[in-house]
Amino acid sequence: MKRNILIVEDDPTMRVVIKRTLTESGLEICEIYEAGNGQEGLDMLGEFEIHLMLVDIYMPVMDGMEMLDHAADHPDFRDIPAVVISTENDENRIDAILRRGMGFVHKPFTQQLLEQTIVKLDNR
Amino acid sequence: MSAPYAERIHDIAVNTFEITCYMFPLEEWELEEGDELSRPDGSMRSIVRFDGAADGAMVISPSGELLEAIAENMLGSDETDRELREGALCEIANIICGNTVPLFARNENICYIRPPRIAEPDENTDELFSKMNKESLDVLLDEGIAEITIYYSEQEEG
Repeated sequence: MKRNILIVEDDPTMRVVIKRTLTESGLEICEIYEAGNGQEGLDMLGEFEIHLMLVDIYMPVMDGMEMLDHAADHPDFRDIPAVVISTENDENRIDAILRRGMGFVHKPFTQQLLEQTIVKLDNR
Repeated sequence: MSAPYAERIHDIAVNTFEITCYMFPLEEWELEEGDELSRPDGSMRSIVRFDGAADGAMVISPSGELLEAIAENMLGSDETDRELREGALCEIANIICGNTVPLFARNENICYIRPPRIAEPDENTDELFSKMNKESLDVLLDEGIAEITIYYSEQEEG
C-alpha cells in the first residue's frame, strides 16, 4: 500500500535524514509531509490524509507526546499508526509508548530498524 | 557513574557517526601512516546542556573537513551551507549527548537534555563550566577528527 507519511521533528537536518531513510527503504511511499513541532503536526493531520506518523518527542511549542495525546483523542486521527523517533532512554517512558501500540525507534537508527518497526506496525 | 567516562563516550560517538553519517573509526596507527588529519580549531562547536541526575554539558568540535562531511553525509548532498552544517552538527551532538546521559542515571533519577546550540566564537566553555569535572576525548574518523568534551557534576547520593 502506498502511503502518505508525516514526519514531525523540530530539527530540519533530522527531517532530511528521516526522509532520505524512508525514500531509500523498500517501503511504498506516496507523499512525505513535514512538520516542525506537534502543533504543526496536528494542523497537517487535519489538512492531509496521513497513513503513518513519525514523531520526535522533544520539540518546542508542542512536544511529540502531547501531539500524540491530542491525536488519540480525535476520532479522525486516533487510528493512524505512529512511530516515536527519539534519543529517549528512560525505560518507563519507552514502555508507555509501546503499551499505547506505537513503535519506538531510538536515535541513532539504521534504515533497517526504521523499516522493521514500520512493517511490524503494519502487521498488527 | 564513576570517572572516567571517555571510553564509553568514544564508543557512543563512533556508533553515532557510523550509523548516522556513514563514517568509520581510524586507529592511531592509521593516522601515523596516512596523511595527518587536521585538528578541530574550535571555530564551530555545538553545546548540549543537561540536568537532572547530573548537571553539565557536552561540547563537540569537529575539524573543518569532518564538519563538511557530517553535513554532506547526513543530508545526502554535496551542497551544504553554514546553516545546514550547524544543524547537522547540532543533531549529531544531540544524539551523542542523548545516549551519554543515561550513564549518569541512578535509580529513578535521570538526566534531561536541552536543545543543542552553536557556541559563540569567543565562548570559553572551560570558564563557563569551571566548577565541574571535565573529560575530553578525540574521535578519529576516516573523514576527520571530532573533539568531545563533557563537563559534569553529579548529584550527591542519598
